[in-house]
Parts: sequence; structure tokens; C-alpha cells
Amino acid sequence: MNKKINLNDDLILDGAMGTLVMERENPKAGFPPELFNIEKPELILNIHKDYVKAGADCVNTNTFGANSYKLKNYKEVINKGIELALNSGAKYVAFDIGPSGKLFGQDGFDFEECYNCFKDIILAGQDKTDFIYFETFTDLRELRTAIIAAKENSSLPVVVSMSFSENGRTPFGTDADSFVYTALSAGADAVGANCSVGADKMLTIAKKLTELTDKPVFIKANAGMPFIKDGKTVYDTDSETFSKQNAKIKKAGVNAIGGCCGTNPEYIEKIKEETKDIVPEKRKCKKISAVCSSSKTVYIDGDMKIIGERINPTGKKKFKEALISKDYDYAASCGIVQERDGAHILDVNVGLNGIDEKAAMGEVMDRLFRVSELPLQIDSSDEKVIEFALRNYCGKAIVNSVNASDESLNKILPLVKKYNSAVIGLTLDEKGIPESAEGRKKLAEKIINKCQKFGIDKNDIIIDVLTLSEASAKGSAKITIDALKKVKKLKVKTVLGISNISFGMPARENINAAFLDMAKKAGLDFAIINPTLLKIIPTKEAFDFLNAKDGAVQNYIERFSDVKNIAAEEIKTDLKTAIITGQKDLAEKEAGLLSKELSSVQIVEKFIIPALDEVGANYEKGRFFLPQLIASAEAAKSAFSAVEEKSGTSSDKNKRFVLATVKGDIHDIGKNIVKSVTANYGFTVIDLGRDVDYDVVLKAVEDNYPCVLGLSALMTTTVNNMEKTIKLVKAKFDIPVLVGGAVLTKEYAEKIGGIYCSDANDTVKKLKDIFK
Amino acid sequence: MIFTSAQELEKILGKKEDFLNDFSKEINDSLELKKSVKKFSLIFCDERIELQGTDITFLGNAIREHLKNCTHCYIFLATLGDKIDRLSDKLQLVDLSKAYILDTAANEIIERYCDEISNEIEKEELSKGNKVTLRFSPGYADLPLETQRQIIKVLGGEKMGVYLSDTLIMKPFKSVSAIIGVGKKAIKGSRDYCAVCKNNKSCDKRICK
Repeated sequence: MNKKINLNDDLILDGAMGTLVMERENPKAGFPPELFNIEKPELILNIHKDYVKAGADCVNTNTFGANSYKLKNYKEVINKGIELALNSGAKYVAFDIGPSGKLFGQDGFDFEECYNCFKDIILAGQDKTDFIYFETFTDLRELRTAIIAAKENSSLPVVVSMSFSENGRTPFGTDADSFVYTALSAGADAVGANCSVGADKMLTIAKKLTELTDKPVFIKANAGMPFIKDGKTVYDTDSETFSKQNAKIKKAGVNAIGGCCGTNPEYIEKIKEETKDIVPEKRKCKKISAVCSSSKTVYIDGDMKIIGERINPTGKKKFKEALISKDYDYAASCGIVQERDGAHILDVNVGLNGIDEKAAMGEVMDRLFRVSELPLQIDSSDEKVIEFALRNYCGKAIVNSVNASDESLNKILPLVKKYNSAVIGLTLDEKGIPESAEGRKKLAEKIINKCQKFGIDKNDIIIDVLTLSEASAKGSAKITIDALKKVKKLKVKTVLGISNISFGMPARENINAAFLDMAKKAGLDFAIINPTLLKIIPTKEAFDFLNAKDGAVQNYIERFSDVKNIAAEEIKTDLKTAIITGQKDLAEKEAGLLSKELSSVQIVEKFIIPALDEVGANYEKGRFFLPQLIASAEAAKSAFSAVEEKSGTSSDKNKRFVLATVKGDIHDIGKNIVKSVTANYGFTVIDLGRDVDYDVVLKAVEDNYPCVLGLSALMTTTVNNMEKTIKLVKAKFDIPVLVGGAVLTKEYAEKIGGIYCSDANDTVKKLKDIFK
Repeated sequence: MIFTSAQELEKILGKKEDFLNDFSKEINDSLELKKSVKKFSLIFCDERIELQGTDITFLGNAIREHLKNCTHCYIFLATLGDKIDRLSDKLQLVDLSKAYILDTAANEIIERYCDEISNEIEKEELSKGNKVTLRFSPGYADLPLETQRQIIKVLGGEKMGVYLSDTLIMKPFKSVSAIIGVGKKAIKGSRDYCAVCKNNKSCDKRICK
């Protein structure tokens, strides 16, 4: 190390380590090459020296897989690896860190565990190198966590590089855009790509990266694609071709190039020679405004973007019940539906008295990561929840919100800056909401000034000039639209919650749609709405009302006060048919209509249960197939939720069925089918999820005693855990345990103390018998 | 043809429905097929079979029976990718019936993909005058499931996005690892593995009982 590195300099990086060790030493397949730092240090030192001789300005330490999950003695391996690289005579040394090898998320490790894994690695490196080089990552969540660990435990610059497949995404679905915005917002100093493809295909990715950022870009391509020749893996691109391809990469604006799998010092020598006179093209990337998840970037480009507001318990009985019973899937399904209906971003609010909001936020975010691509807007009034969510969120989020009071700004803005998220600023302060458009603009200016003092980019500031009920104060809509136009001139982004406008009026969606249209024409960047609103075409009466025309309120109320009649004429089929034919939406509509006339018990007894019984009978006779049975169950579920939306849960609290996929098993489709079908028969199903620990099952049985337990296992290896769970439960509670799963037989189920259920329908029958 | 079709989904559902056309397209668009295939020499030792140049060892009688007369074997890893799992996660929350159809279709697809890989291997070996065995996977009879660990490591599972849970479940779910024996006199047919399986006295979970 002879001088501080400037990552913007033109740099020649080194080539492969792993494949070169294979070539020179031919160890057993799967043997960790990092162990040679200790077993054969001269082998590694010579490779480094050969790369330096070939012209590499920088060598990577041989520490790619040196972590606590892969190597027991990883700290020693790291120390030795760094020492060897420092002794190679290279101008610069990069501390090379690869993925942990453990899966991130529900079935693997969480943020803290992942963070600690990389923290240990980084501390072991003791900042002896010129920079940290995270490379060959495919899971952006893991990479982002690693960046945060590096930034908080080291003062070195951090270069991050992912492996993209030919389709431009990593195996976990991350594209270049989301990678760049996420990595940079987490604090990376340079971005790049390596491995997976040859230098010809890498050119596309490299170009894309240079368009996305003006930060340094590091590229290390493979020597083409691997194939087997005489039992050995070889790569199909020679050093001559490879260097010509790299010349194009450098020309495109990439300042640091080297090689990955299949390359050797000859490749690096050729690259050096071929690219020495090439001046990278000047970058043309524009300052943009964008938010992203790990797989999707939303550009704020002038077209109004929809923020889905449905993940929020306010005023929603079912949502509240779901949060209290820790049914986070409910919130996640609200996300899926909004994405389908056209939302671009999802607002996530799980604030409810009496629940652990932080834990709920984590659970809901985790589920949304699996089932929705949309970027998230973190909506909480608790700064601890905001901080937790920002730290854990893989992407660039929006914080909802700060207001113009000093207390709010000073508390939240440092978090916004630390995680480089976007932020919504509400134009209200200790004194309330200014009545005039000018007053709201002044507060917007205060927020913008404060944001800039904290170093928050103007592109990341979103001002909400607030929507008030037009019925409560005539002229409110006009003031809001005026304020919106004024704030637009401040060159920040704008957002409005829409639905407040219609408070106190009938046929609210009509007014909401009209207001949305007005705000859009005034240049609104984001609308927080229920995306189904997009389907509604507002009427003239609504516009007149919002424009505060004389007599408009009266006209509107006369025309729309009896909205029930409008909806009623649409539907004539009956609920039973809708359930039997598995028509979800129709069943929901039908039940909704019926619930205006009948009690929830009547609907269940007269329509839903008879329909389900008929479906069950058809299934047993082989007339219906399993997917049809499930579709009917789902249609019934929609009918239930329409009923429950008004009256709360309709299931029998005395018939409790605790359901879990056993410890170690993560297959849960079977369990979910059982859950869906049994819940419709009025049983209260407590779903503990998958991979459920023994004590969690015990606790749930204790909490719900007396109850029936249902366990599912799909693997021969996890059937043993089923047996263990039953033993533990039966030792304390005398309750029936229903069991099912692909590898179970009736005999085996009985042997381990369970009651065998062949499928969901069979489970219903057994439950009916038990609860008789 | 590895991909699914509306006709295939129709068979799973049990009736014709309009949405199956779009759904088959959605499934096919979510496929990210990846494979890794390697060939090794076999070393038959007393209690185990080793794969030369690796740490992989095969234990149990069934695999020994399967690889009888073989000199080499292929190991391979195939996956449909994470996107299909995500689609399944999503459908399980909003449309369980479709989730079930997807699950069944995906099982068929991964099987066909494995058939394709097996056929390529067989073609290659036949041209050299060799014969091949059928596929055999860790967890069959008395070949321990733990064998997965080494196989996935040697085949570079991580780079393909294939991980193993602590309880040896592969993620993405629709992933398969398999062994195919090669030799001049390799036996392709299936045989009574239960007869030789070490667990045949204690096994009460499986068909061989």
C-alpha cells in the first residue's frame, strides 16, 4: 500500500483466483481455495505476483469464502490472505469478500445474523487493505446488509459487485437499476458486476451501470462460458478475444477492469495492453428521482405514481383482528391485490394499540418481499419503527412522514439521511394546518431547507400539502390544488392522500376520483389511494362539488344519496352457485349484498355451508378435482370476508384448530389448503406457519386449550420432528392431533400418536366428528 | 417440450377454464431453468463409493446396487429458479387453487427438465459405447440425504441460487439433485432397492414396507 486509492482512477484489476488454483494445484472439487493461504502460502503469493507482473494495479485477497459459515478458522485465513496480498508488490490491495453461503430471509438468517457475519469478517480484516470488495453476490438483501456492516465497522471505501445472468437479473431477481439505487443508498462507494457471463455479454450490463450512476464502475467478466473438455472445466474465450471485449467495456465508461472465472495472468496482460490508450466515455447519467425494491425501480418521471393505501388497520376491523392474531399474511395479501390493481408503491402501516409495531412491521415487510415487487413506503409515527424498517428494508424506501415541526424534523430526518430514503413532508406544524395555500407553501419551504441542511437530496423530498374534507369546509379542494401548484415551483416532488376530500359525503369514490383527476392535472407526482379508484370515472356532479359551485352540494347529495340501489341491480346469481363454481369475486359481491338483508349466521347457514357440503360431496365422488375444491373454499372465504368486513369474525371461538408445519419443514402449501378449507366450516384456525419450533406449538396449544392440533410434514427427515412435537404436546395436554403430509401413512400416523388425514376434505370430516 | 401448456393445466384442474391460457404463460415466463452437470470416476471401497477428486462419498447398499458395473457417474443439479417459488408464495395468499395447480405443474416441469438432462447424458455416453443407469437421488432408500451437501457444493449450487436448509431441504423448492451411473455394462432398469436397503427392517414410512 503506497498511497490512498482513488476509485475513479483507471485501474487494471487482477484475474481469477479459484479457477487458477484449480489449474495449478488441482485440489479436490469443492475444496476451499482460501485454505491454501495457510497450507500453501507460496502458491497464493505467486498467483498475486504473477498478476502484478502482468500489469494488475490491484489484487484481491484470497478470502472470498472466508466466513464463519464456511470456514472454522476464517479469521486466520483472512489475516494470512491479506498478508500475502500486501506482500505481492501490488499498488493496491482489495479485501475480497463473497456471499456467506447462507440463505437470507424466512428460511435462513435474518438481518442481525447476517450483519454479524459480515461484521466479524470486516473486523478480522482490520482495515489493512485499500478498500473492501464485495463480489459475486446474487442476493441483494445479503449484499445490502454487508454494505451496512462495512460502513459501520470500517473506514475503508466499499466496492460492490453482483453476478447477473444473461437476462440481466441475478438468480434472486435483482436488476441493475435496483442494485445500483439500493447499494448506493446503503453507502457503497462504487458498483460493479462480475462472474456469470463472459465479457461479450458483460458489455450490456456494464453500459447499463454507467448510465445509472456517475460513481466508479468495476467489471470482472468470466473468460466466456464454461464447458467440459476431457473431464475438466474450461472456458471458451481466449485472452485475445477477451481483451478486445474488455476494450469495449472500458470505452463504455468503466474505469476498473479485470477478470473472473477462467482468466489468468495472460488475460490481464492482454487487457492492459489492449486498453492502455482507451479513454472511457464521459458518463451521461442524469440526476434522477427514484425509489426501489430489490427487484423493481420506480422512476418519478412526471407521470403520477400510485401509492396503495390498503395496508393500514385504520377503520378496518378485519385488518385489526389479523394484526392482533399475528396473521401477517393478511397484510401481505392486501399488497398483492393492490399490485394487481395498478399500485406502483405500497404504503405499509401496522400501527395499532397493544401490538408490537416493530415486530409486525418486520413480519409484514418480510412477507411482502416474497410476494410483491413494489417498493415500500414506511408509514409510522414511531421513529423507532421507522429506523428499524429503514435498516431492514432492501431497497430505497419512502418515509411517511415528517411534519414541519422542529421536533419531527430533528427526529426523523437524520434517519432519512442515514439510509438515503425519500421522505414525505406534511405541511403542518405545532399550530396545525395553515388555511391558505401560501401558508402551506411556507411550511414546505421550511421542510425543504431543513432537509437540505441534513444533506438530503432535493430529488428525495416529497411534499404533502394535505387534503381536507370539502363537505366540512367549502373551498378546501381549491386551496389544496393551489398549494400543490405553488409547491411544484419549489422543484420538489408532491404527494396527496386523496380520500379525505369526500369525508361526510355519499358515493365517496366518485368525488375521490374527481379530485384525483384535478390533482393529476395540477402535476401531482404521487397519489395515496386504494388503486381500485383508478377504475372509476368521476361524474360532472363531483367536479362541480369540488369546484365549490353554487348548489353543487345539494345536487350531488340528491343524485347519489341512495347508492345502494346502484350496486344492487348488478347482481342476480346466488351465492351458493358462486361458491360451487369457485367464483371468488362474485361470491364476495353476493355475500356483501346479502349481508345488508341477513345476519352473518343466516348467510353462513343458508348459503355458505350448504355450498361447501355439496362441493365436498362432489369431491368425494371424484366429480371435482382438488383445485376445484380449493377454488370453492377460496370463494367461500371471500364470502366470509365480505360478511366479516361488517360484523367481525364469524367463526366459532370454541372450536379452535391450531395448525402448523413442523420444525425443519418449509413446505406449506398442503397446510395452507387445509387452513383455507377448514376455516370455512366455522372453525377458528390458528395458523402458526411453517418450520414451527416445538415450544411455539406447545405455547399455542396452551393458549388455546382445549383445542385440536393439526401438523403437516412433507419430508421423511421432518416426520421425525412431527413425532417429537406430538410427544411433547401429549405429555402435557390430552388433545387430538391431526396429521398429514406426503410421506405419512395411516399406520405410521397412528404409531406416532396422530390421527391420519388424507387431505383437506378428510380433515374437515375429522374435525366435525371431534367437535360434535 | 419442458414448458407447461393450457392443456396440461386443464388436466390438473379437471376442467377447461379461460384463465388457463394466461396462467400457463405466466408459469412459463417465471421459469429460470438452471443446471450444473459434472462427471467423475468411481472408486468402490468397502463401505462406500467415492467420487474421484471430490469429498463426495455414497453410503448404503441401494446406491451400490444402482451403480453396479459402473466406472463413472454423473451428478447433476437442476432448478426452476426462485421466481416460481415467489409466484407460489403469492398465489398461496390470494388464489390457493392456482397455487395448487402451479405446484403440480412445476413438479411435472422439473421432471421433464431432469429427463432432458438425463437424455443428453445418455446420448453422449452411448456415442462412446457406454451405457447409463436411471436417475438416483440422495434420500432414496438408504442413500443418506446428507449426501446433498457435498453434491451441491461441488456443483456450485450457490451460484445457481440453490441453497440447502439445515434440515436438508433445497431452495428453490423445485430443484433436483441426481446421480447417473456410467459403464460399459451399466444396468438401466429399475430394481428392488428395498431388498438391499439397510433400513428395510425399520422403515415404516415408505412404500417398501
